[in-house]
Formats: sequence, C-alpha cells, structure tokens
Amino acid sequence: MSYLVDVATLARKDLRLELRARDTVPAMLLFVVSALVIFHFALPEESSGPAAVGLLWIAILFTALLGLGRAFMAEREQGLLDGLVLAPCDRSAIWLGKTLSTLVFLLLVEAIALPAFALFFDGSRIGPAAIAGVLLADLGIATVGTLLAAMASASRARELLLPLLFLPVVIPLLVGGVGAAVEPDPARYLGFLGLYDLIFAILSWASFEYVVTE
Amino acid sequence: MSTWSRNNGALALSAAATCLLVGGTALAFLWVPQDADQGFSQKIFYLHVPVALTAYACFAWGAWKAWRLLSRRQDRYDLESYTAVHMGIIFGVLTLVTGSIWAKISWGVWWTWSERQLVLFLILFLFYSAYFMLRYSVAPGPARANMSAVYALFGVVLIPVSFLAIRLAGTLLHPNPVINRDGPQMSASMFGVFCVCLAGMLALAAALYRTELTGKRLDARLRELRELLA
Amino acid sequence: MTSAEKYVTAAYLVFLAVVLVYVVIFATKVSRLDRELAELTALAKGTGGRQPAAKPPVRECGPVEGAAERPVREADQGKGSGETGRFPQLPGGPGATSARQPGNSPEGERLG
Repeated sequence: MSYLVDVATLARKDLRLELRARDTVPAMLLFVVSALVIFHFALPEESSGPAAVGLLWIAILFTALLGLGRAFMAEREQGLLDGLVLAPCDRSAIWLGKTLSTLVFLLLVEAIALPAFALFFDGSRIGPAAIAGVLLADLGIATVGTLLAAMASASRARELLLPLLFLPVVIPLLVGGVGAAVEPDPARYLGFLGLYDLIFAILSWASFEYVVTE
Repeated sequence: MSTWSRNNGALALSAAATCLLVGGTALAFLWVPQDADQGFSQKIFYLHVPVALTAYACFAWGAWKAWRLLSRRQDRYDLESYTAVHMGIIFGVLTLVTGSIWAKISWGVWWTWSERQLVLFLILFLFYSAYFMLRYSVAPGPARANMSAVYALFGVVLIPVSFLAIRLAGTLLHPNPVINRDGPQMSASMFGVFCVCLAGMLALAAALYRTELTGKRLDARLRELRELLA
Repeated sequence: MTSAEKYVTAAYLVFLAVVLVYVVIFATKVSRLDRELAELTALAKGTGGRQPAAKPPVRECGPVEGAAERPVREADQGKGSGETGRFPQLPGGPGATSARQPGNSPEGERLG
C-alpha cells in the first residue's frame, strides 16, 4: 500500500508544481490550437475528412512531446532525480507518479483540443469511438513517453533526442487512434490500443528502474 | 565458451558463410527451377528474405544481450548488445534497399506502403537509428549501458506490435487486399536453396558480429592502456 | 539482359558492395588500432621511439632551471644516467653523469 501512497505523493507533487508554475499546460494548449489552425491552412480545399482526423492526431502527438520534454527537466536540472532515486521508494513509483501527472496534463489539453477540432473541422468525426481511442492512446503516450523522457533527459541533447526516441514507438498508437476515429468498425483498433497499452505499460514499469540507476 | 570457439569462431563462421552464400547463390541462379509466376525476378527472394530474417535475428540477439546486461550487470554485454544492434541496422538497410528493388521489379515503384515487411523495416530503421543517437548523446558509462539495453528491449517488443499496427493500417489505407508477394507455394528445391542462403546469411552476420566485437574490444583496451601509460 | 535480370543483379551487387565497404571500414580501423598499439608500445618502453604525431612537442628534459644551485643528494648523484651510483669504479658511475645529459635516456634502449 505504501507503494500507492508514494505514487500518489509524487503525482500530487507534479500537479501542484504545475498549478503554481502554470507553464507546461498553457503552452501545450496554445500549441495544439495553433497546430490545428496551421493544419487548416496546410490542407488543400478538397481534402478528405479523414485526413483532418490524421492531422488532429499529429497535433496530439506533438503536443504530448512538448509536455514530455518538460517532464523530467526540473528533476535533472536540480538534481532531484538523484534524491528521488535514493528515497526509500520503489523506483517504478517515480515512473508511475510521473505518468499519472503527464496523463492529467494530456487530458486537460485534449479537453480543449477536441472541441477546437470539432469547431475548426468536421465535428461529426469525433464520436465516442474516437474519444475512446484518444483516451487509450493517451495511456500509451504517457507510459512510454515518461520512460523515454527519462532517457532523453540524461543525454546532452534532450530536446532533440526525445522526438527521435518517441515517434517510432508511437506509430502503432497513431494507427490505432486514427483507425478508431475513421473506421466503421473501431473495435479492432480499440482492442489493439488496449493491447499496446498493456504491453508497453508493463515494460516501462519494469524497466524504469534501470533507466535511472546505474 | 571454449577457447577454440573464442579463438577460431570468427574464422569458422566466415568460412561457413562463404561456402553457404556462394553455394546458395550458385544454386539459386544455376540449379533451382525458375518460378512459374514471377519468372527470373523471383530470384531476388533468395537474397532479400534471408537478409530480412538475419536483421530480425540481429535485433533479437541484441535484445538478448541487453537482457543479460540488465540481469547480470556485467559490462561486456553492453558492447555485445551494441554490436548486435549495429549489425541489425546494416542488414536492415540492406533489407530496405533490396526490398525496394524488388518492389520496383514487381510493381514498378521504388516504394509502396502496401508492402508490410518494408514498412516494418522502415519503422525499425527509425527506431534503431534513434538507438545510436541515444548512445552518442549520453556519456559512456553504466547509465548509458542500462538505457541502451532498455531501449533495445523495447525494440524487439515493438517488432510484433508494429507488425500488427501495419496490418491494421493496411486495411485503413488500402481497402483492397495486399498483393501476395511470396507466391502460393515454394517447391521443395526452392525451399532448400532458400534455407542454404538463409544459413549463409546468418553465418555472415555472426562472423561480422564477431570481428566487429573484437575490433571494438581492442579499441577499448587500447584506450585503457593509453590512460594507464600516459 | 531483361530489365528484371538487371534489377536482380543490381540487388546482389548492392549486397556485395555493402559487405566490401564494411571490409574496407574494418581494415581502416584495424590499421588505426595497429598504429595505436605501436605508439603505446613505444610509450611503455619509456618514451623512446618516435613521438606520437598528435601529441604536443614534449619539452626536452634537460636540467631544470636552478638545478645547478640546488645541492644534489649523494644518493641522487647517478640519477638519470641509468646507474645506481653505487659502483664508482665501473665505467658510467657518478663521474660519468657529466658526460651525458641527465633525464634524456638513450633512444628506447632501457627503462629510465
């Protein structure tokens, strides 16, 4: 039970920090709305509706990248990660706490992004299946992204490295998400997203310890 | 590991690779009957598929060594894992190039998204290229070794997941079923020659892996020596 | 040659080219390692042999400024000449130090 308490403490810490600093989430919000506007100008006139959904997903992915890039910044810059690692909690609790806070940020941003998309583009595309796809993919993005952000933050070129690590791994999420939104039979895609989440959550949870220790 | 294997492994493997590959290619061009449907262009199958399977094998070997690193925490596995992934990338690029040539022969285009193996290799290429980026931008040490190992493990898990995703995406992007490239059946002789070529390619990868590993180890030891003397 | 045959040949040639390029790269690496090993061997033998090209020019280890004023211990009389200084009757005893520059041992012959 103390494991869950640790996780909750860590997640609360991140949320509280964000509440006070208010820098990551507003930046992500502004980015996603700007991206949607750019996509309107980028799409030729007679583009298909599904293409716009694809662009929504690109916006979500890159907004997530923006948020993840800041995920471990404070910890690395101020040496807090060493302190956390030395703390008598399971290292994977750090991962889980950070994943939960990232998930909350993503959900907050998408709560604005999806209505914005419905406004700028074709709102009928955002049905329950699409939303379920977004939620499931958020899980995948948060779990894998947190692990990769921890890796990237240890390197010299952290802002450059994170997209390179992140994008190939989330291609399946993109396929699942767009498929769930566009296809008439979304069950397969949602099932696939769930499978991805399960596999990579377990993998990330188990291997986070090795990423932050030596 | 016996000393014979350590001393002569690379030699034995390269000898085996030479025999198998030369023999296999000779068989493919001179002996095996030509495929009824695809004609001469099917011969590329004896090169492309062994290269692709060898690339998978290299990535799997790299992940195995990565697992050993994380479970045993012995330094040498880092170098071995890195070398295996390096080999995998080389064979991966070869797969993409030969696959692209095959696509040109079969469908007249250099690239097609409906060719699942090629798309999978493209994703893997991106993924493992990032592996090298990761290694280059982190200072050498146990931290880098651990991170590379975790990333290599992610890679092999990604292979089947990506394949599933590509299959799903295939129905998304191309509602019509994909052209079945491999042909309905392979005759026994074709399969036999394919196996010879596959064995040769694996032996080649193993020989290159050994030589590369020896070279890297020598490099590391010389650097250590230099630090001790200077 | 039909176009299919050309492409198949091209594919095999690409494979051959990659393997050969790998051999070339590895040969370069091996010759570099060989060179480094030679340098390190020379280094191990006591800075004899040629100076490694990459290193900055080594200052000649002549007498340190002010050494003439500083008294030299008797035990250190033979220092730098390769002798122990304990057998003055042998050629190359303490008296012989003046004949050679201290500190600059002969070309790689023996350890300083």
